[in-house]
Amino acid sequence: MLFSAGKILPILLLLGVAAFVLLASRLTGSSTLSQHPDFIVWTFSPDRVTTYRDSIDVAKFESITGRRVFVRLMSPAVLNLKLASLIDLNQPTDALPDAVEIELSYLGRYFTAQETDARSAVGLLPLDDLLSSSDATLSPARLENCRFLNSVFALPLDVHPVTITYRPDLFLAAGIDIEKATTWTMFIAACQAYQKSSDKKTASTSGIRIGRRALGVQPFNSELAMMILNQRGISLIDSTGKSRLKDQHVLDVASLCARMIASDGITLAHGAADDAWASDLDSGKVAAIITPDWRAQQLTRLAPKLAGKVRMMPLPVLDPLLDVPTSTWGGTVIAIPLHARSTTDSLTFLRVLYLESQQPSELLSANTAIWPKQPLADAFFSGQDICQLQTMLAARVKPRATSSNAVIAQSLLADVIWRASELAEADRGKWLIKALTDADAELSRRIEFRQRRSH
Amino acid sequence: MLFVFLPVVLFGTVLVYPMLRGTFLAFSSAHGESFSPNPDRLSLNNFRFLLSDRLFWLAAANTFGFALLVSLFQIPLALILAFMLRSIRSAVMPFVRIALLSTHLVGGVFVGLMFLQIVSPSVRSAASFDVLSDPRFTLLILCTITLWTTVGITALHLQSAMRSIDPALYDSARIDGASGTRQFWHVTLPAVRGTACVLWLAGIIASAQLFELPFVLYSQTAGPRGSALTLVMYLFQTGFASGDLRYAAAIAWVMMLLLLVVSVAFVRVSGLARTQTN
Repeated sequence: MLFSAGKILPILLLLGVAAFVLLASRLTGSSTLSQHPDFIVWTFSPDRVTTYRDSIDVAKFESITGRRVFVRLMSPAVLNLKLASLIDLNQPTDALPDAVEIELSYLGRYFTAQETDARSAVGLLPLDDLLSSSDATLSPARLENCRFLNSVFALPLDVHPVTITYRPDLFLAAGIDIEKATTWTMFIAACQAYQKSSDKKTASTSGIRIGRRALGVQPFNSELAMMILNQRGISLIDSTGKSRLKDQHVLDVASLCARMIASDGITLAHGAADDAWASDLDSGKVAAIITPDWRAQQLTRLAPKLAGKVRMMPLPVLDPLLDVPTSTWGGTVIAIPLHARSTTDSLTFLRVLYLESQQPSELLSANTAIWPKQPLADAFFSGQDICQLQTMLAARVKPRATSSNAVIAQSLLADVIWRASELAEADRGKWLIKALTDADAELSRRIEFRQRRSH
Repeated sequence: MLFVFLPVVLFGTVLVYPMLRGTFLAFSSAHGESFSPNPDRLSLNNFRFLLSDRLFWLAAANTFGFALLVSLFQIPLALILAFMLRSIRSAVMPFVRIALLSTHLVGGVFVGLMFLQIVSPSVRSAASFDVLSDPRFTLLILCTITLWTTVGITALHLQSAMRSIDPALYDSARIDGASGTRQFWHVTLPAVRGTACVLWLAGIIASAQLFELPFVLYSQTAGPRGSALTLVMYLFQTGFASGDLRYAAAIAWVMMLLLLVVSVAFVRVSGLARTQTN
């Protein structure tokens, strides 16, 4: 039996559109708790899954609400993509979690609107009422990260103080006590002395002969500069949304970083493999690496042969009067989607687990990770009490403003620093002033474009 | 009817609706951003900004430079490989086919991670030279990996086209005293020209959508001096990292238009339309 395509095609198209509308309505219909009673928490940290499972606060929450806590684990990028897509629907849906842990670098993505009504602008539930009714003290620096349009939209879960982990055996073999280098200038000089004294042999556990540099850093990006800027409490885009790329502080830090990463500098870029930084330190390819607290924990697992051969020191500073000897690197916040199925239960979850926790009080300290850290093997760090060091440093971490334009700002800064590192030191200063001025103009143009488009 | 129904549904769901929605986003300007409940206004603001966006044009230059370089080598290498495959014994041929196909089947992410192990400075024990940190090598690295991934399957396509050539043509050429090279140039090439042109165009379009390789090799950044910033990478950063879905939609639209211009130009220059008609 033959059909005329002319008659069938419109019918098929109509059926296709109808099927699509049906599918779409399934995705965006309002949810019913009776159908899906579990309290869904999204996280990207495998450690958190274990912690939630063992937490007495979770048991208390479950007894209060009658809802079982179900933790869904996914990678940070996937979590952010899914959450952003669901929030963009701007309506209730079953697929939204009841609470979600967000990596700090992704938080700025939600802080884009210009409206004064914060409640509808962000896609996350404001938590000001929750915080005002609680006596808990949270890190002011970290809370600043979660603030937008004068409302707090997430609770900070950790601080991630940054230190330098180094191999004293390598430095001492070159006759250098690196812990005496309390400023970046002294640190660079000490590292250059270390590299000069190197005879290209390593003291690695595997005996591989490779060239040595003093400090391992992440490749291609501006993380080093951001870290040093944070020591002074400078963000590339301040809390008013203005670019600070042509600030004198940014110029000083860009100049310092360019000097460090230049071909005659002191750094070596780690490979892009996940454990490249650990193997670089283990093999002696670098004598020091930059370690936020979670990296210090991972080092014990990734490079067990380094046990007893490493120590930790605070960051050097650029200006001893203005800067703190630590910084922050990433971090986690927990938030509630604006259209979560039961915001009452979600607020109860935050209150029970984070503001009225029955865990030991140090976990809710203003200055350290809220969830219990795994006991760190001090013997690994040559008998040093690094928990105490990190807790002390965490108290001094300065706030870092979050912005939806942060990715572009960091990319522009990384490009400037990279190009500056290729110039001779004598030419760098003048070039940097012009380059940062141009980058500032570029960033300001983008910020203005997004703001103007919103009016 | 049911057989056609499902593709139509899928077509509507995953292609038509996103295109319509993306078009709306690209041409809209709203009070607030994506989450705003206020109605959008139509405007060309996104496109006006894009015309003067240095990063967009850097990404475009990187992307089309990469596509040009890959297209210059992909078909010629595949032709040579396809011609060489003719002399392989039929008993071994299935294994050769699997080997050539496997590089394409494993996917961009896996290939990127594999090559990362080769070129990563953490793995090399002796050299202090880091190719990934040198912007002069970015294009070369990306092209080499892409050619490694795609030449095999392209050669298999061309080999299929070569099998459809009438053997009598080769007999005639041999009788006329033509050498192997002349047979290749005057018999094989004209016969597979249509297939080669189609594959060439498909390769250009696929190359312009480069994303996974630089994403994996350069740790989700634009690489040294922005040399690894491609159009899709810039679109990803703008839309998903910065949350500016409207501008990202505008980038997608302009990218589609640029590809359309390149494709039409290619069809005209290569005479592909005439070849297909003939």
